[in-house]
Amino acid sequence: VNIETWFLVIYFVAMAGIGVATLKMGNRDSEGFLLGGRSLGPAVTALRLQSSSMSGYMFLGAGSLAYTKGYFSLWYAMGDIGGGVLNLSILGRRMRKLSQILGSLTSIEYLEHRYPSRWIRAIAAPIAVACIFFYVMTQFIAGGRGLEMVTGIPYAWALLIAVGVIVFYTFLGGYLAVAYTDFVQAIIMLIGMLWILIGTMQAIGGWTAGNDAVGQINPNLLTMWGPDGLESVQWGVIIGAVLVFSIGYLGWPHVNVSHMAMKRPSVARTASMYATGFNLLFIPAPYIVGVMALILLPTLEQPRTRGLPGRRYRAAGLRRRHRHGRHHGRDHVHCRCAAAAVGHDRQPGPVPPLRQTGHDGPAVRVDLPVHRAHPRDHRLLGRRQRPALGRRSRDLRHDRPRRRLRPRLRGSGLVEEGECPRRDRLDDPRHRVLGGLAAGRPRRQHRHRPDGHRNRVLDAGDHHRVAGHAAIASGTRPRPRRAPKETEKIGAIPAHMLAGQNDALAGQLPKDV
Amino acid sequence: MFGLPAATVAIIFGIPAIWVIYTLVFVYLSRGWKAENVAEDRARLPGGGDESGGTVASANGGTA
Repeated sequence: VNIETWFLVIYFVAMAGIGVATLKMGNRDSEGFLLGGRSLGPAVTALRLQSSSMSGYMFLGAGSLAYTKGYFSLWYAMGDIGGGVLNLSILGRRMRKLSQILGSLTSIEYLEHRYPSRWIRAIAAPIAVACIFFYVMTQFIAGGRGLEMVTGIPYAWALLIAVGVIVFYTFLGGYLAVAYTDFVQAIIMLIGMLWILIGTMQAIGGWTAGNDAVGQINPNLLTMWGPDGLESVQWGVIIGAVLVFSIGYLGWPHVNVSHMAMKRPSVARTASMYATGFNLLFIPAPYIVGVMALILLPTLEQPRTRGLPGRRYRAAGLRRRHRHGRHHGRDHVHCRCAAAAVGHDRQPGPVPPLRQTGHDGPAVRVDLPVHRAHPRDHRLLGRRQRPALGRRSRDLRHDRPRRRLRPRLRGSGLVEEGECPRRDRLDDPRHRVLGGLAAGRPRRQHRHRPDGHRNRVLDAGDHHRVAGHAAIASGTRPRPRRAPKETEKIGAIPAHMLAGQNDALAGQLPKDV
Repeated sequence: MFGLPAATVAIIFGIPAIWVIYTLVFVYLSRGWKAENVAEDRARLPGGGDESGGTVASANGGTA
């Protein structure tokens, strides 16, 4: 059990403890269960409002968006920063007073009392249930995914634990438990995100240095107009991004209930300062970290081979079949591997030691699109589970030479430069073939590239460890700084989480390569 | 500044500054809200008067 798991256990116990502590209020009456007895002060109101509004998007989506779009993604943050104060200043005091006057405990009940009609509940309730259902589902999924990634336990169990704890404290303490757990979570979120931001800045040598490095990937990533530049800016997306998180969640049920549960209407005034302060500190951070991840974790996701700039790079996407002579029971090790060039240098220099081999030395991070591999080969990729490949290995026994399999399993790995004896074979010194981990017995060892060069990728090697890959490294970029040790803890992204990855990744690469 | 284009710097610092100003203006304009607390406390007391009478009007009119 690692330390992250212990922290999670403590966290879950604390959340459940809050549920138990608020049991008395939750069981008092309907107002006690649904609104916490309208007893919340400004700090809890504001931070609860913000943490429940942030959702899993801020940790899973915002960084990913910034990773693919650069500073363009901060348009979402620009609106989000003002979302809290807009809510509190426009709705907060009014909702608190009117809901108490009308005796309303929920948003729909408020509408029903405010505009008396039997159709209000009939129309609003199904809409709210449908929308909130999917909203809550995404939060549960985000919680389960996060727990899975931190602890490594299977997703189904991670989801069960996350949902179980949430349901437990909610049923015990009602809204008061939700508010206090949200308050604690907001503080944890803020500390954690600032911690990550500061660590990121230290790792890249400061914000300016990081921006300079990102600008070398694609200068447009530093602009607010998107990776394709001002010429192709999407103004509608920008306007929507600003509005969606500013006025977009005015009146949402979980926001309204936060207003209704305030101790006094005037709480909204003080809460607005907490909300804006929290947002200023928290909201830009995941976007900036996401942009800087382009430097720290350049292969966190991989562009598809077809999206690579310059057709010549595609030539390194070798497609071959391997048939291994050794039998493992009935299971012949049939592997279909592909190699792909992912272009540009991939963090040469001192990077964490290879997990699989224990070597400690200069290494190159490469992308590994794999078409077919034996399960144990995934240990080479740092995976725990079998890949979700579409065809079973027995399909490959029938020798279908022209079947073109799209890579479904992607990951990244560190390859020690010493494992790449074929480097510098090409005439062009900028291009080096780095052949790799694996071997198999390729029937064809060369593949012609459109630019006339040949890539010789793999030849002899261990016949039983197949995870073919290659990378072309380019020496045109300055050698990056020391990679942080934290990357050592980051394993390959689970294959099932890479399904349907964003084509827009290609946009982060320069157009003129 | 910070290795960013001037337009990027202007946007990512300018828009949050607008929100800060908005918050400060809101806090200033709502400085009288605390006075309502006294009236509400008085209304909550037994025999303190009709709670809903005057507050509906004030609830419909907010500062911000």
